[in-house]
Amino acid sequence: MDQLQNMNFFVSLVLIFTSAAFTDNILLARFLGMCSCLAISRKVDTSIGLGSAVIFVTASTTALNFLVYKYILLPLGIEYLRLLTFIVIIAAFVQLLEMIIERFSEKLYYTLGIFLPLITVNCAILGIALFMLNKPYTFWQAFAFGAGGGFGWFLAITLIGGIREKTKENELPKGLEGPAITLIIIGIMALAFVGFSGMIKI
Amino acid sequence: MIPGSILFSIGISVGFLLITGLILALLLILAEKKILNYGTCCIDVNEGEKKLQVPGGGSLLSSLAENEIFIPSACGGRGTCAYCKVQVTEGGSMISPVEEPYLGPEERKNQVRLSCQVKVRKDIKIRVPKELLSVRKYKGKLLHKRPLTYDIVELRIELLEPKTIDFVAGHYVQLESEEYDGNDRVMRAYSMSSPPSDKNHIELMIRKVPNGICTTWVFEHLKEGQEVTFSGPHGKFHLSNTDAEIIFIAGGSGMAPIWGILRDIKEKGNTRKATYFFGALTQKDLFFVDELTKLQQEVPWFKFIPALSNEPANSDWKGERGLITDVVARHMPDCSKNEGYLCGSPGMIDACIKVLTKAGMTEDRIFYDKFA
Amino acid sequence: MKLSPEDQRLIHNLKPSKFSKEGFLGTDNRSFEEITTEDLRTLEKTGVPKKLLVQALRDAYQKARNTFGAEVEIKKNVKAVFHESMGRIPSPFCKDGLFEKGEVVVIDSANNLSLVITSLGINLIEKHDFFQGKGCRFRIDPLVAIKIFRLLPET
Repeated sequence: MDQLQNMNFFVSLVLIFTSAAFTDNILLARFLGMCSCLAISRKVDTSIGLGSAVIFVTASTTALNFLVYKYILLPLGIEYLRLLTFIVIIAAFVQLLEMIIERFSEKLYYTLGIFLPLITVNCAILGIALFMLNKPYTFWQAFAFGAGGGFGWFLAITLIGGIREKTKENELPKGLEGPAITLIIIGIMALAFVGFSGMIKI
Repeated sequence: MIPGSILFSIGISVGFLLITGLILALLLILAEKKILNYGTCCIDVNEGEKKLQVPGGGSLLSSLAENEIFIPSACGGRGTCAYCKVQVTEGGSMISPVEEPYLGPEERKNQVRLSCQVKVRKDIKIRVPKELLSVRKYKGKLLHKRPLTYDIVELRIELLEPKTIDFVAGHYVQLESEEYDGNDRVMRAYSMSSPPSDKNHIELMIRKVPNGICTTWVFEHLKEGQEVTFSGPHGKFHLSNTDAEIIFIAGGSGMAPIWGILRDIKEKGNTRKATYFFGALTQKDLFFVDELTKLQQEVPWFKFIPALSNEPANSDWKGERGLITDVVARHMPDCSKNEGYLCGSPGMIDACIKVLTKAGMTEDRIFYDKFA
Repeated sequence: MKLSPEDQRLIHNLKPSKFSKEGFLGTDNRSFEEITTEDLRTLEKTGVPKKLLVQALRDAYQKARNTFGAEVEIKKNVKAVFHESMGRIPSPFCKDGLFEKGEVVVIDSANNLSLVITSLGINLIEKHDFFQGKGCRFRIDPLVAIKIFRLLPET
């Protein structure tokens, strides 16, 4: 941990981002955000849409929650309320974001906005915000952690979407169709992602 | 006895959550008021012909409907029927993914949009066909429902509110069905078969469609004396201003606009020659034969040719036999000077266009309403 | 389970609506995905290419449509009648646009089978492998269609 603080500011950001995206992939290593992943990953383009919305929301809510935790919850001595607080903040933020996007950019609304209601209560987003507390991050590091986590989720769902598009035509035993085979795919991909785990340790 | 410190921390957590919740709720309410408030927007119809002040944020279709401009729509604004197309020349913003599939390149160039998918967010300029501005919602009372054949009925409706309607013979109205057996209210188009001079009534001919939402309602639920609602008049199907000889081709309930046109031109002292080919399967599908034959005897300009395609060979039918298209081709070898008016199913219209063009009629002289 | 906006729309459109009195799923309580994969598999097992089936449906539809309601013979003992209807119906897959209403009822008196073919129904099979749910009046069961149009040599 000490080395993290001594490191060059930007290098530390890049390292945190990559480790959150690859070694500690929220979907493949922690198995969070599975519900929306199973449901939406049928096609690559919807996967990309939902994934981008997740990147955006995790990055901003992690930063927001960092501030709330550090400047409100800690001073008041009520850290144990972090779970509840984070949930409401994320939900309210997503709602607000949807309104802002709808008002100011139609283009963004049609590509990202329509996915926002789906991730109001996505556990990956809450998970990233809570894991962020385990490390002594600064504000920008927390932001990089959130963005990296979101990117990891994006990457995973897009890959799964690609594989599912390819395997759609294949004949499967009846019991394995749909979510079942997707879970197996995710399992195999998780094994592959274990290969990253030795790369960065922070 | 609970220790004070515990009470204190319970108090602080409850208070904190309460306050956070309240603040966030307030923030969202404020945001909704501020961010999603577009103020009052102005809809300019046909270059200043009408200017409407509407609260922003709603769809163009519903904003227009609130101001008594009824764009035809069947799906009620879900973006699935694509009937509600209008030209938005200014302030229409981006084409939404819902609209994409319905707009061809030509329409995109002309800035055509689905009015149910366009949100009024700022001042907006639109162009609609002039006739649409005179479309009204009507309430009426069903005077009678009489069967014309085993599967076609005639409805006669007295207008209650407004009491009169101005239309051109050949146009149609959108009849609104009521809810029944879990079916939603739907709007379906039916041509008026009454002459425009009868301003307090309209007549419709409706054929029963198996599984049809609106026709099932008309046949099984609609009673004489009941109140009905419809909007209109719509349509582009009417006689041209030329004096070219007319060929009418219609079968079944497709007779409606033609029966209206015939009665209209008779009243107006028409001299233009007209021939009406009535295609049907067997004798039990024929109706109004007496009325049409009588008209043929009364006026010199009208000829009525019913033709049956499926009549048993040994029956007492003395008229024409064969597909309506073949009968037309037999009687009208040269159509280059005529005008064709068609009403019927898309399949019949396609086939008739083929026959008429083959006999020398150019496509700009063939008129029809495909109700699409 | 959460659904993408596109899927939500599809599920909504497949139910009875302002356009389709009975919806597209009939009494089938399987999901859209299950229906398509199962029917495709059934079709695959028979060895009849989907293209051939679609072509047979389209030919029958056109042949009947061209006579405006008179009975036509498709094959020996197989008759088809076109029932006209004005107007158009939008596809539940919004991207496909509108289709003419009107249906062709095919009756195979030799096997005591029948089918209702619509232009929308043909499109649903061709583009989306969707033969419609069991119990739906417009379902084109692959096995029934193959039998009616004699797409397999009789054994």
